Amino acid sequence: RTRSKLFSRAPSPFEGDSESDPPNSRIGFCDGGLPGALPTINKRAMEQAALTGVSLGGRLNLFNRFDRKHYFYPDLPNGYQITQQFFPIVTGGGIELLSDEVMLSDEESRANYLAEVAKFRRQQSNPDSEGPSEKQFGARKQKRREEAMQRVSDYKKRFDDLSVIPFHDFRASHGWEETLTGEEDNGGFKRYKKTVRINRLQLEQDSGKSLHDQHPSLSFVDLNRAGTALVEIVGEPDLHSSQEAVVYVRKLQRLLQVIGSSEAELDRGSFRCDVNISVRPFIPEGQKGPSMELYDAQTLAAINKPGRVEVKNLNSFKIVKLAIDYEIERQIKSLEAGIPVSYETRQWDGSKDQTYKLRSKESSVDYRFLPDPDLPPMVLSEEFEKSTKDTIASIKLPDQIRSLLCAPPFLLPLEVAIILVEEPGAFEYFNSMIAAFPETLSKAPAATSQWIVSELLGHLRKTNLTVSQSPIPPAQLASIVDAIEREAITGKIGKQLLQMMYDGDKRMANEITKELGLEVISDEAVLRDLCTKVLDAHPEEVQKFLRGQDRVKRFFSGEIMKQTKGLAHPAKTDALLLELLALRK
Amino acid sequence: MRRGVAARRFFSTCPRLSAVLSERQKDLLKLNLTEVVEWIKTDKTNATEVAEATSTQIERVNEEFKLNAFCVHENDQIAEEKKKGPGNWKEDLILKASSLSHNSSDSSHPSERLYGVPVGVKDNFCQKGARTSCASKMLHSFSAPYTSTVVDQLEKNGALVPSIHCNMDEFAMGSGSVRSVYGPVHNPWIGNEDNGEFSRSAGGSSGGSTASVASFALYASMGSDTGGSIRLPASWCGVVGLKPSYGRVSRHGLVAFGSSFDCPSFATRSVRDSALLLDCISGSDPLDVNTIPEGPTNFAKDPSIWNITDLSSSSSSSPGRPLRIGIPKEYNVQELSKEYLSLWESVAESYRASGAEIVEVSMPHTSYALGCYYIISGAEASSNLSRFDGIRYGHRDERPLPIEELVEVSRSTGFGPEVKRRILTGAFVLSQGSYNEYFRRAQQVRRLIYNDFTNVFQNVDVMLTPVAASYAPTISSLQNNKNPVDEYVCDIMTIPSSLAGVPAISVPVALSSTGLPLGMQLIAPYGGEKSLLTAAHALEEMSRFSPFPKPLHVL
Repeated sequence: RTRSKLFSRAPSPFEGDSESDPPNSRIGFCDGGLPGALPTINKRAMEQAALTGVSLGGRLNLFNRFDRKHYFYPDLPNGYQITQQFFPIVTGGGIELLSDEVMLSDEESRANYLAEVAKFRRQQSNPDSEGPSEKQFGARKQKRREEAMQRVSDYKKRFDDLSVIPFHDFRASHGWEETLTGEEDNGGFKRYKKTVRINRLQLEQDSGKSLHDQHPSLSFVDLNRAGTALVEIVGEPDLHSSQEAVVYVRKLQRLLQVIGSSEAELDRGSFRCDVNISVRPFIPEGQKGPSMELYDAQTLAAINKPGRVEVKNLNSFKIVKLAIDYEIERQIKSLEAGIPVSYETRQWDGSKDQTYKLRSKESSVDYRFLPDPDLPPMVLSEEFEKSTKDTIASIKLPDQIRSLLCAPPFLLPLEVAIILVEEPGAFEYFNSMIAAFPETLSKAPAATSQWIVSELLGHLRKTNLTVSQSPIPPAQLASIVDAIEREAITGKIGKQLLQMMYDGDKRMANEITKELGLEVISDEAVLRDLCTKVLDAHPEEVQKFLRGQDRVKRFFSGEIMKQTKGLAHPAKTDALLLELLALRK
Repeated sequence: MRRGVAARRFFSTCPRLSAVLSERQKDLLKLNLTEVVEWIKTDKTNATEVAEATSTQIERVNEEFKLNAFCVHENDQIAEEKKKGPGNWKEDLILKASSLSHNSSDSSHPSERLYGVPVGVKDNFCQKGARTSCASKMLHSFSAPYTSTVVDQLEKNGALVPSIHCNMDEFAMGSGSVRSVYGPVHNPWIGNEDNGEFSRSAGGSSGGSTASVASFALYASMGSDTGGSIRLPASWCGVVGLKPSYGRVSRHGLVAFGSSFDCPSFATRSVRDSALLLDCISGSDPLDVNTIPEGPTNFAKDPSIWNITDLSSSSSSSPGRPLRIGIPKEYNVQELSKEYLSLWESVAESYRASGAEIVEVSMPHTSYALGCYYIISGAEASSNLSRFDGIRYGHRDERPLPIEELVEVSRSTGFGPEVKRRILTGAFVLSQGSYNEYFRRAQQVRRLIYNDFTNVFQNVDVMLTPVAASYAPTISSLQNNKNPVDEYVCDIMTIPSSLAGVPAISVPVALSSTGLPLGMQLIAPYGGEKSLLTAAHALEEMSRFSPFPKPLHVL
């Protein structure tokens, strides 16, 4: 993200209120390809590209050169794009994926995964008990889980006639290795990691936009975007599923946002994905090639012809996933029909949920690269390198934040930490909450994080907001958690308060509860009185309990909650009930 | 205000009865740039009088002598009168001049160094409000929305830049200014064998710039030099042509041909005039990252350049020692005429007589320069010219065609044959199969040639060479040239210094036996304009060759 374009002083289209800019109103002489116009290098763009590359663990190349890549297209005003074909600013680097991140990345596996983790934790904390029964999940959770499982099986059905395993598995052949990340609270849970390598990061000019839908017979060109600094990050072919791809892209997006080099908004075009997809045959363990049992001769022949498909300009995570899955399926079907996959560029058609061929890459275009004579090689100074590295060292990168959250004093569960890191603004929100009520909240980081992850996010998602756009300021949400921790209110009341705040109440939790009388009843005398009355009113149930039906206890506490509108102190009530029931034995 | 238009209409119908210059105007027009600046400053004349004389002479050159030194298309006059647009160069010029003249009378005296003097520019400099066509059909109607640094600097220094530009070879590709959509530029000089006709080439590609200065139409004109495009026509037209060091003057707004060679350059009537212009427009420019990171030069008022009569202590590198002049033996090529060779020798002799030391030097890679230049400049040209697709501006086929076809047809019909030849050559040398074989190797050779210069300049201050193989050929001989390489050979003396990016100057020295001018070229190390100007001024002042005659028949 730069204020002005890569090689001119015209403002970038992603800067300020650009949506309302009329077409072709943000063009420098150089961006418009005017005769005699020369490029001038935007230092800010170099800085941001360097920051991005270094934060990805890449090597900053001090020697930079710009090359012209030639092709004719109406939205490419100069007839060439200035890019870094031979001497990119950064080479190498990578993004580490965790199996937990992959599992959390989509609806289908998320519920499954969370259930697994929960089950595992219960076993860990209570090794003697058998695994918790399905019933203990509670009806609502159970229903959600069933729905998720249904979606999974529907999803799998689509692939039933294909000899692939569409759902995620963390095989070593896919680059996954078992790991203990050292940050999790549960030493034995199976966890995997892999690094998606990055080949290079290069700076280049964006092109303009061709508009074909403005007029029945005319096409228009809008050059506002032309010449904007673009950082192209080329990954190695290390991704083995659409889920991995989505996690990779998401993590990259978060990183860019955290270091501030881009808004990285897919739908606004400040973050764009081109995905290359090819399928390979399943090679059984210990064998050198695909087995004849799995594939027939014509399929094998088709497989042996190399091919690759590039799907361009995917503008949402959902589409990235859909397009990859579609392509995997299409290519496998094609190979099984004996038709090789060719080298081609395809585009996503959102109305049909499929890709279509844009152009073939079989006859490779000769871009006639030329070192740009208008831009002398740029040699970055060692001070530049040092300041870049210092800047990165001073920023907490997403993976570092995650480790921080899993470590003392927070000790959050990994999956919660992942979500806090993944959600824009969530970590800052979490910190602000603790800062608002340090005495209570710093002792309850897990509860604090849960209020963000399960409660606040639930509300925000309904209105498509991010945590940083939350209408409830952190201190206000923190006041709820504080009240709960002080045992001034119950969790249930807390949720009511959240709803009120979400609906516009600007007051802190204690102010609202005071006014509405929602504070917890923890006066023992009052509670004892209440309990006695309830027990007196239900002699039959008391008898049931005394006969050994433990579950009846819940009936009593339910009755008390009903009478107190949920304000009775739950633990104290329970204790008193037991005490009083014991007296009636 | 209507006078210009009326006059033009009148001239276009009966060209034989064109305007006549008064003696006073003739005297004014014969001045050089430094002199006319001085005259205006001391109120011996004023901007309006100069502008009137100049524009009358521009019209005579266009319409009476038909030199094609300026970009005037046959149909332009009608179109201009209809549009009343930027085409009214004459009205514009006189209006600007008179507004200056009025201002100067009541305000303090102007300090601008080019105050009130018209300075022309080649048709490849962008100037807001003027047409910049590069003498090509491709840009025939193109008017830039911005002004080049060169024009901007000229105007900031008080110069008046006419919106009528100097003719050239299409996109500056050529050595004879015969490849222009406006027709070939005729040299104002008439040789003994020419039957009184303007049949000689003005040289190229900045032929319009040098012809305009030689024919008294302008005191100075900006050209551009990529492989000799100011020095060659300067030699053929008998004017001074200075190509500064690459990056000394900003290229911003100069339509690119060979970006790593292109130098805005000067056609003037004296060496000092070119120094004055250089002082006015040189200096680093944030809009051209290849400019030398230094402020403007300050040569015109440097007495150590202009007061030298004895060269025995003017060495720039070792003070107190004589100026050392290198004679590169490899420049004594087979094509060089006998007459030119002996002129070369006698100029060297005169230098020796003025106290300079003459040293024979060797530039072993000279013979590779021509091939190297045409590969690299072709590659850059093919790239630079790929922006001319007819989509946003410029020539475009009228038919509704698919995009690839539209670009193809527009480019095929918009570019002339020489431009297409260079684009194709350039595209070829950059293509995958030949990049290493041609482009990469040419770049390596370029480094060797640059090293030749570095080595030689360890021992000499400047080098002295001819500018071309001979004097101006006839336009028809250039047009009938079947083999393009014959024309490329014209640049053999000027190309090596372009490859090295070093400054060079062409100074008119003598008339050939046929009565046509011959110039000598001086070359200095990178950034060494001072020794270049010192040596050039000394050459200009040598009594044997001074004063250089003028083609007075066009006054």
